[in-house]
Amino acid sequence: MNIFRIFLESSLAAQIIMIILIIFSIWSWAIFFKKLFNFSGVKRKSNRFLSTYHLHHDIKTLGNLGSLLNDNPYGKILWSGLEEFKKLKAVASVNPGEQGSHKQLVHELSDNIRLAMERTKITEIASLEIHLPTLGTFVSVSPFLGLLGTVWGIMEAFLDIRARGSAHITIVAPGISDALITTVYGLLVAIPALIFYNIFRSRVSNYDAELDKFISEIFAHLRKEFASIG
Amino acid sequence: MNRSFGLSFVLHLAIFALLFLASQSSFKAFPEVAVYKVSLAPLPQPKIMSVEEPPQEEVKKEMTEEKAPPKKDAPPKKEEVGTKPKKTKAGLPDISPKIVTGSGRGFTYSYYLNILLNKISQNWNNPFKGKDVVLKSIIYFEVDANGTIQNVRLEETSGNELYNETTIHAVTLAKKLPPLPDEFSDDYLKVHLEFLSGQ
Repeated sequence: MNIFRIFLESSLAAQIIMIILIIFSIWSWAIFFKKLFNFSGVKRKSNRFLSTYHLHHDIKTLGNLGSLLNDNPYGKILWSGLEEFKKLKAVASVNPGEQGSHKQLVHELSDNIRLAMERTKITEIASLEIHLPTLGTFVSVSPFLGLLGTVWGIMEAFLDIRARGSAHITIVAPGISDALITTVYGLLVAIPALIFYNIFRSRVSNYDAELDKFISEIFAHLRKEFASIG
Repeated sequence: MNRSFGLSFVLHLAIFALLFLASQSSFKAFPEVAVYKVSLAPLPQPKIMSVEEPPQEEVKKEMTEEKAPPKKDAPPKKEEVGTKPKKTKAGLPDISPKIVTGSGRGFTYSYYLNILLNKISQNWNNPFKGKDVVLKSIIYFEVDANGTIQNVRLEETSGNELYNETTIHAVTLAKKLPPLPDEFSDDYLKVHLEFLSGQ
């Protein structure tokens, strides 16, 4: 089977569909490489941060981790939590109040720390999810586009039968076999794209769960610290 | 993203190059060898008379000479294979069935003849099928380069009007055949088609 010969001998509609599918294929593989580099970078930097983070248990020293707080999702979440903690610490120190009202204030303000870290997490997850909807679109559209080319080709084959006035297998078979090539192209685009999509979707879910766990851990730590101020 | 697009593009180029090489090497897998043409015993083919506008009397005479007595238990046939020797206009013996072209040369595209005969035989509703009546008619028609059937006429009557009508109808219903083979250089193909029943 020579796919180049089939491409050249196909109708204009089938050729257009095949070109679109080739563009989809190049695009989906580009997304795959992009996400692969992206995730491997995030993983490497996160691991470096976490190995340093586990050595420090003091809030004051955690704030001095420098660039480690800016180049990975864990660091950014910790940074936003610490920033919010500093602001609330300033507010609490100027409004000491009574014992009961102070506890209420600590409770309300400490929720702000969690919300700040949640916001950062959402931003980080969104940046990890970028291009995944495009990949999902290729997964759904490519087989249908291939099918469209096949249906079009079969329709032309039947029109050819009518024009020639014979339904002999030698007349029908070439048209139908050529028409099927677009479905092959569609599946060749959709199958790898679906695999990439599922791999990256699962990685994002894992990151989401890991970051939630990290937020809970930091929040508990900061809240304890914040309560001790009063 | 540019680096990823570059990588993806290179990957696709590599895949297409591999496919191209694979398709080329598949041709090399079958090295050219000398081809010897051999002639096998001819397959039985449906009857297609091969005379180009033969004189009516001559053909009739031959047919009466060649016709075997009808067998009562013989199954009815459509479009018999023409193994009977006939004489062309020039008086030469014609021992293989063939269609004579407009220029008088032989028509050797058996696949086309199969399509032609299949289509006509599908259209033929023989009213004497299975009956012990021997009938034969010859229909003359022409096929142009586009495959259109034209100039259909009864060349030899069977003596039965109904039978004649069905044979003419079978040919006219076919209307359009596939275009004549590209290698066939003549403008049209002359066909003398014999319809036999009860033999």
